[in-house]
Amino acid sequence: MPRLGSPKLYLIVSSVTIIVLTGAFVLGLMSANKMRDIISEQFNQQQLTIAQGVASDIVDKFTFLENELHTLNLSPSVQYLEVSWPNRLQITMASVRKFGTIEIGLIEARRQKIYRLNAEGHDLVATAKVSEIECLQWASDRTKQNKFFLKRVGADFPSPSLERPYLLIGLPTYQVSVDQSHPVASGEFVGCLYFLVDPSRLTTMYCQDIRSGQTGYAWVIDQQGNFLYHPDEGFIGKSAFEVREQRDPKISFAEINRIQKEKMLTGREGYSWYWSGWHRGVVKKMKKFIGYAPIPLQGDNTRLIWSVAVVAPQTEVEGAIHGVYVRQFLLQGVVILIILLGGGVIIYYESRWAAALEQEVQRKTAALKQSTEELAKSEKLYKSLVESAEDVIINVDCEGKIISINRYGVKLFGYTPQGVIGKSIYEFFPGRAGRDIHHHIDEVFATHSGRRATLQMLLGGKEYYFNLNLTPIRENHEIMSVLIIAHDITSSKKMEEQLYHTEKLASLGQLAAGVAHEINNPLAIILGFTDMLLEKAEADSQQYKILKTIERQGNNCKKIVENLMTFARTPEKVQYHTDINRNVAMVMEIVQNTLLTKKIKYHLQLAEGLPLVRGDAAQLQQVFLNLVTNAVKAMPQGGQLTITTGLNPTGDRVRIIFADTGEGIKKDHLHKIYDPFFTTRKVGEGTGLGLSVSYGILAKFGGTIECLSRTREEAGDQSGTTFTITLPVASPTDQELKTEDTYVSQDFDH
Amino acid sequence: MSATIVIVDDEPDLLDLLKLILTEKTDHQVVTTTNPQEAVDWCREYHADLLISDLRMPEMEGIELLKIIKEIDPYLPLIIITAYGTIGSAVEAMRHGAFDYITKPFRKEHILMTIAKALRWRQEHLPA
Repeated sequence: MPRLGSPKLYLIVSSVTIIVLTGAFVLGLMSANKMRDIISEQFNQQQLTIAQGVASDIVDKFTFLENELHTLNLSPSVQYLEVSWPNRLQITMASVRKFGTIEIGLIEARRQKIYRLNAEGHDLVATAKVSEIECLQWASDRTKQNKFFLKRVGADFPSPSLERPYLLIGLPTYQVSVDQSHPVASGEFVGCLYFLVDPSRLTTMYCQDIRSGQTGYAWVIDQQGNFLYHPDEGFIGKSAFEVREQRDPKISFAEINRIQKEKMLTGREGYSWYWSGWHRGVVKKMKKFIGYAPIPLQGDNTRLIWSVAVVAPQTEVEGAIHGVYVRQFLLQGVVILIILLGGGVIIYYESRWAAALEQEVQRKTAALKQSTEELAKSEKLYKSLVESAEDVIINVDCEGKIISINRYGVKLFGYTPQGVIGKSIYEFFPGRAGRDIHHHIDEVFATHSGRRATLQMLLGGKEYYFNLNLTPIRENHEIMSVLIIAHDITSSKKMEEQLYHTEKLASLGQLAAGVAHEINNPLAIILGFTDMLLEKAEADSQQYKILKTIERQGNNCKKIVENLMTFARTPEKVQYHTDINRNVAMVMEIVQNTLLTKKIKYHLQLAEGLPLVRGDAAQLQQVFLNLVTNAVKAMPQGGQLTITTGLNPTGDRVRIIFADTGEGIKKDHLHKIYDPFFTTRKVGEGTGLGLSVSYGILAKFGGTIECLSRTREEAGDQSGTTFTITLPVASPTDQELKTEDTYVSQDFDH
Repeated sequence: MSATIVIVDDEPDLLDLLKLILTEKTDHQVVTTTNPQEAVDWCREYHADLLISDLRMPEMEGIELLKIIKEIDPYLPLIIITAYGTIGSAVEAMRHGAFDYITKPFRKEHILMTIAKALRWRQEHLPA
């Protein structure tokens, strides 16, 4: 589809406009032609009406002449041919002359004379063979009394005035009237009284002033087709079928001849048109409109039919048609102008609109392109995020088949992406974890809502904790898959456990402090009195041994309380910083003989140039001593102890690792080793406070301690325990504080 | 030289122990009480050369007792005995003028040495 404002659209619109305008023009022409026909017809109807009026007037006058003839025929002067007959005819002539009557006469049968009065008023009596006159012959028949004779007469009629055919109206005359001279009517036949009427004069009277339109005129033909009246006097008395062709042989007058022959001479009325070669002074071929009407002249012997025609050239109606044309074309012009202007305005505004639309489209296209690029970036970012996320991100279908999985997940499960896609997720979550995740996925599909859960599982022998977030992926309100984001919370879970442990130890510390206070009082009393009694007892006596046992156990109690108080001691306000390597060396100096006797080889891997750490030398040495002591206990048959120091990868902590090749700690015991009084040794061999105290000391200085251990059952000869201590590097503020290196004050009795 | 030592502790058995140690090992006169106020009254009405007091007692804290005694006799040495888990409170007592402190449980040699040291200090600081 062509867009708005495009050349193609303009071409289409222009073409349609031209077609419409052409159609309108053709329709206008057709309308104008139709209008012209209508006007022509109406004009011709008017001509017909005029012709009918002329015909009617002529017939009326003919009737008037008959009436005058009848009146005259009743005059005794005429019936008895009295002396005054000329006067009487003069009287009648005065009233009928103007209607074309050129002669009034009486054909007297008995005397064979004709008594006549012409239009000029001259009377004359002539002798003639009246018996040969047709009208007298007709009138002599008694049955024709009071009946009119009508005949076109010419040279056959004995009258000096007959230069051209005339119309004779006759009436039989009988002596039926009376007067003083003839008081009794004889009733005898006299002859035939007649009017001799010039048809041209009669018709001229009514036709000469006829105007149809500006130049139209009337003409009359008689029953032979001869012109009785025509504006061109040269036509009068000549045959209408011949005189035109004689005037202009180049023009075919078939149409008017047909009209004259078939219509006018048969007494019909109507209107039509024909070709002519002239009109008044104008000579050229032209179309003429004609309206015609019959002039029936009824006699008792015959019936004459004249016909009057009113004609006018087509140019008579062209003015009106031209006016209609002008109005119509003006109207069309205005309409077309409005259409063009409207079209122009529409096209202008549509062009502007199209331009604005195009700009809008371009803007939207640009925006779409930008958003597509942003979407692509977003997708790339999303993919990058998904791929780089340190969470397992898996998309599974309703059967638990893996649709997609990110790199971290693949790495965690130890597969290639191709090896994972399409497999069931339950293969990767063995045992209870698989059942749990199966349940969660089913629930998401069933409830159409996401779920959160924590999952514990073993992967590669290592325990993992995951926070699961299961989100339904919808398409058209239908869940197509489930997105599982498994966040590894193993570290935080362990930290949480450690925190729990720390809090537990802190509570125990407070408890221990209270217990220490309460025990110290009675212990002081017991040991004090025991000491006093010992002085008095014999050294070999049973009493002395008992008191010694009391003293020893009392001292054990004292030691326990001292440890408890160390464990429970709150952080000192003043902290020191100390050299780890030096402290390790000091401890090893103390224990090296013991290690030698226990057949334990030790290796020191001390990093050079370590920064000082935050901590109290004596207390840290106590920690190290505790760990070495534990290592020694774990290697009754001898072994190897490796102590390593160094910086952690971030450089903000110093790491001290004590690794032995001893028996290892059972997994069930690993999470209890820092609990106070927890020990696996025999009663009396250990207080179970060593690691608790160590933990407390390290925690006090912001340090950490972790233990990894494998028992003989688990690892055979590779068994052993590794304690990893980290201590924060002393800050510059710490550096300014006084360094206090002290030595271990406790006895080492191994 | 015989001196008069007043001992105050809320634990009667400990008072008996200290009295036994001092009477057997020294010739000092020993006055014991579980009531700190009695100790104050004694010091105010009679002569005392040394006051040994528990740090925490239900009726009066050792620090408060110290302040009162110092008003009565500024040169009367006071040894604090504490069974509390930390020595912070004992150090705090010394800042308020206590002569020394002994933590429970103690060895009799330690307390005898500290008492001797306190009495010597008393002798040196008494006005002529």
